[in-house]
Amino acid sequence: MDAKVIKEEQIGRSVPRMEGAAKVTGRAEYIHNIRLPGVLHGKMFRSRIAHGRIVSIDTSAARAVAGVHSVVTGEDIQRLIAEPYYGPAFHDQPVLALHKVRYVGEPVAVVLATDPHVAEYAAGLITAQYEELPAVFNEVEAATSPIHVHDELKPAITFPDLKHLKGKRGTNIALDYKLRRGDVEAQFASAAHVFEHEFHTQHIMHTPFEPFVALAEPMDDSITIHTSTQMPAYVRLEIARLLGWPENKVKVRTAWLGGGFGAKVYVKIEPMVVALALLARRPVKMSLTMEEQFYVIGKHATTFRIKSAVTADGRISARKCEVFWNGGAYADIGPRVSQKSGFTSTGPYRIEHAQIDSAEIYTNLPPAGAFRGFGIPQLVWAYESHTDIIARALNIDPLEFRRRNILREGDEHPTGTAMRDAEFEEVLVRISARMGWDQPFDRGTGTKRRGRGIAIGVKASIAPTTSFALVNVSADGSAVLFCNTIDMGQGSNTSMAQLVAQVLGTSSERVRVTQADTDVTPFDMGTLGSRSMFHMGHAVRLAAEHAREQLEALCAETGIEYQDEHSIAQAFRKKFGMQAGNIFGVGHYTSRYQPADHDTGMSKEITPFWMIGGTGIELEVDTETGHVTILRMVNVVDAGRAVNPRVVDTQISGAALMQMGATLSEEMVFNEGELTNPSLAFYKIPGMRDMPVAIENEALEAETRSGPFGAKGVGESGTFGVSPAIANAIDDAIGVRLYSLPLTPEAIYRGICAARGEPLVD
Amino acid sequence: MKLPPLDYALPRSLDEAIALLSESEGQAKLLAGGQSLMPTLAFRLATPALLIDLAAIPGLDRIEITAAGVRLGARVRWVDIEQSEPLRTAHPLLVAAMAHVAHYQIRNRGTVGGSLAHADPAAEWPGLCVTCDAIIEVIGPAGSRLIEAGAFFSGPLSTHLAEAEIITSITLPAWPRGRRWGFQEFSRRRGDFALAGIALHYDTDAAGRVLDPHIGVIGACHSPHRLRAAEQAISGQVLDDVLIEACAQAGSAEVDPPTDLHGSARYRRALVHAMLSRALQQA
Amino acid sequence: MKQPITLQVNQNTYDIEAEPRRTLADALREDCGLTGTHLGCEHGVCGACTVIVDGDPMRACLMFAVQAEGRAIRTVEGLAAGATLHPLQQAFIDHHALQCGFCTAGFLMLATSLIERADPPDDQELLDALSSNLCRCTGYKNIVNAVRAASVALRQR
Repeated sequence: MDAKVIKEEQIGRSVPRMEGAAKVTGRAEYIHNIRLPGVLHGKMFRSRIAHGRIVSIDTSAARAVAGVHSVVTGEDIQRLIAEPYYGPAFHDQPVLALHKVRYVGEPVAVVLATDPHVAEYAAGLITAQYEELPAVFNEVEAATSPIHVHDELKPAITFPDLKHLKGKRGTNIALDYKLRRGDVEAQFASAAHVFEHEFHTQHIMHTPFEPFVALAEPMDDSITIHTSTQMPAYVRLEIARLLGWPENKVKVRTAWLGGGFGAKVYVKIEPMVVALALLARRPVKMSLTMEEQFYVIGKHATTFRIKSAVTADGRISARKCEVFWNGGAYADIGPRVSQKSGFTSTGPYRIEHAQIDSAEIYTNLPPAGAFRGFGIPQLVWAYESHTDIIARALNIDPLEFRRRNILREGDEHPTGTAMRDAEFEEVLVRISARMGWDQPFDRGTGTKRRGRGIAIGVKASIAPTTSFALVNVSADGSAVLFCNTIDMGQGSNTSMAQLVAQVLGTSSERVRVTQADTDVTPFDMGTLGSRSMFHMGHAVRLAAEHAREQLEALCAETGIEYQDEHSIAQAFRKKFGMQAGNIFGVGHYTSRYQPADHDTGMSKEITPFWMIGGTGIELEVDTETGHVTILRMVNVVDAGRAVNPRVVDTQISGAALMQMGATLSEEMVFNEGELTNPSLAFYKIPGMRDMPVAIENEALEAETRSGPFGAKGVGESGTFGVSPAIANAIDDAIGVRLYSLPLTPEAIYRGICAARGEPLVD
Repeated sequence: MKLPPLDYALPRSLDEAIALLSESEGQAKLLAGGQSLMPTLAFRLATPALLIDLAAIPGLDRIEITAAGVRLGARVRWVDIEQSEPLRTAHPLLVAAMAHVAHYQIRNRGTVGGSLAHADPAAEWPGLCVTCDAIIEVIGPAGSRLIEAGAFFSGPLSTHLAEAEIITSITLPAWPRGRRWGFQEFSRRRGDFALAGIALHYDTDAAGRVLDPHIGVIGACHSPHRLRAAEQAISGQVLDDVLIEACAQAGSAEVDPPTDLHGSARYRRALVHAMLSRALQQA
Repeated sequence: MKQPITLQVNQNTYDIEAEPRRTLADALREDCGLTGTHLGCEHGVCGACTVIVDGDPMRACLMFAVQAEGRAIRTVEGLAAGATLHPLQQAFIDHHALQCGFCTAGFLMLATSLIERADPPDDQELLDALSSNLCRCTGYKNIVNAVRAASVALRQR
């Protein structure tokens, strides 16, 4: 590329968010806001038992309510779709419960009415009779329980490593990833030190503020789905498969998303609205409430057993990890979480002998799937708490212990993939420098005790995946980017526009990005796992380069020097005699990947790039209440080159605060499978007063050589280190080590009482 | 959440409101600020057929400060108390506690009468009324009567209000100059209901001895009540660290907290200890 | 049973017909077509539906439309003067005080009522008041910065 035509570098420029004005004036479009003539509103009736056979469903009282259009059950759905089961990994989830219910809150019937008040009222009049079955809730119990959530496993064809589970009966294990490297048992037998711990994380929910909402609009020979989704192309594919239709008869469009965080990946309520709309032959809208969201998808609760052998000079020689992922009643994308994240369970350390068993397990709880970090925060929580315990036990400074074992450029990860463009040590260095780790630290007095802690985590990208992009340059030199990357708040439209402008040599403000509409925006796997900047970034770069080649040819043909949008406009006018015409640039990208060997779990190319995030925490514990005040939070990530530094900074803060909520307060509390706190009043996400007193973020000056303009994804990296850094700081402050999230004031206070030999007895 | 069917009435007088209540035979609920009532309706925890809005009844929104004390009309909002300059000296404990009541927007609509009728044991206001010997004036078909706050609550979310009775005012006894007070509460997030809270006040004699201590607990209880043993522990004594600790221990021993989603009984007991100790230090 | 209700929103009159159970939030969105006010939790916790009623910020999901009759309502649609953004709106853009934008209207209306007060709140009061709304994306820091900046900008006008 000719450098002189770029007037201003667009990469690294903090371009203001393009949709800023629309969002502050209330004009930004959300699916939440869509109204269509003749629309019916659906309201679900849900199971109140955790596991049972459906004996009968009485919908008569609901049907009798004035204004009710119809009441639909699973059997009605089956008249339309013979095999009404969906899911990305397993075709296990019925559109509405059929024959059985598998968790409290599972949709059993839907009332349709023109007035949502009527639908909700009538749904309250439905009753169902069940033959109750024993249920299993705990992931470790379920791994060997005689109670089985599904009679037979039905893997989708999508993932080759699930093929061997087809038709398997008598198990709740939906994926069993194994890594075998070296001989861990021999190391444990001979090591100077062996440490073994068990850690737990709780079930939590994303709570996007725009709850799940979708609207299906049947046309003559096609259907349009307006949905708040992170994955329009997948929704189209799965709906087409369910209906037996070609993809081009299913149109999926989105608007701005009111948050996603992984909740809105794959399909959620779309199969239901589509089936209802086709049955009713009218548009149907489902707007879930905040509390209903908790019954759709959440984040895996986990049990993680970790065992390490450490040499006399403080090097980790072997690590054995056993991770149980509580997948709930339907697999959703859980098996990917347990595999794609599972293989990083040993952490960002050089470990010659490693063994991992990471299993996705069905239970009678609401489904668990992708959640900002895709399983990594659960793993880092365990391995970085474990790491700190080891360092303290060996009297080695926790920072020094990490530096002694950290993976460096070119080192081999336990999976066999070499580390490239992964600045682990630099992340540690920057955190400790910002915190003044080697400086004396005020430890507080009396009932206010202070401590500090650090933690670092690693994530692999989801591979192999594909993105397509299309750049349309108009005759005035302005451009529109067509891409399916969904801007759910992460600023992707702005960043992608910057990539286009960088290549074309125009300004970012002259590039618009369309909202996804599968009739016009080309395929993309989806907006998840921090994959978009890398994968879609490459596709957009290639599309823009393709456009630029054609624009340069046009300029050459018309004798105009290619400089900027003005020269482009001149060239168009000269060629076509007026402001007319288009140039289309197309590009696509598929990441390189080599599947893990089934028996060893190893691969030379397990991920196209590594994400790294670390956090340092200074905090104060109130020893009389267990309350924690985060005094300072330092987040450092390797995001490659930051395309838009302000947007990157916001992503780091947002991710870290979200994980802080998961660490200190958020928890879905179940009683025999029944969720006791499905409301924002009782499910406590962080408020403004819970913010750290000081928060600082840094994206290293780094370069991802394999990434577009040196960039890689950053949406999740801020989450990685937060939980263990807080737990490590609590230990540092008061000598109390906690093994289960969340670290509530009561849990901390109980720890304090137990440590002084006066455990609280209920 | 879309609310169930209901009717709405906007009576212009108390008589009209009482008549509507009487006719409804228990199917009606009074609507004041609605900040607790509307979530209750949304979650189907109550399904009244009729809401009787008190908004148009004159005279219920006054704050009067007399030699007898502070009289708050039932429709006085939290924000009215917060912004009242005279109340800062007429009842500093009341004003200080307002910062803990729910959130800013809620305080713009929530009312003192509504909060008492709702009777949430974790709410600040019922606890303040009990602590401060408030007198609640109610009116019903049989006329008006006065109820001592300590005898008003019958349990969580329930009161001794008779059917068709309406709270019209709350009177807090006069606040002597020099009275000492403290208010402390512990909640998981700002604006959340308290897991445990303490409101207290006492006077002192010339020698600095504690006179007439009033200590009330909120949150860590089924309904707010005074902590008599704790009061007794400091009555007539000059406060010091040892006495504060003894008082906090007495208080935490005499509460009977519930175990629920938000915290165990044992933990709440510990919080009562901490809050009581801090409230005494604050005073 | 639907009844006629007249709402004054952003100095426009809306004559609507609604049942008594209709919340102000639904009336604004469904009957007045003012969808800039969003519904998050619908039970008074998140604050996304905050609007200004007679000068005070209120949660539009915790108020019946019929209760708002005859009162001056302000929503996010009325914040800008034509094409000129309110200083707070501009500050939210400049400070990256929004991500998904779903809670933004609620924060804007809450903060507007605070910074437009004759005696603007001190920093402590400001934080206390702002803490009554929730945001799931930003981590709050930029929202606080934007409101502080707008408060200064408004006084300098």
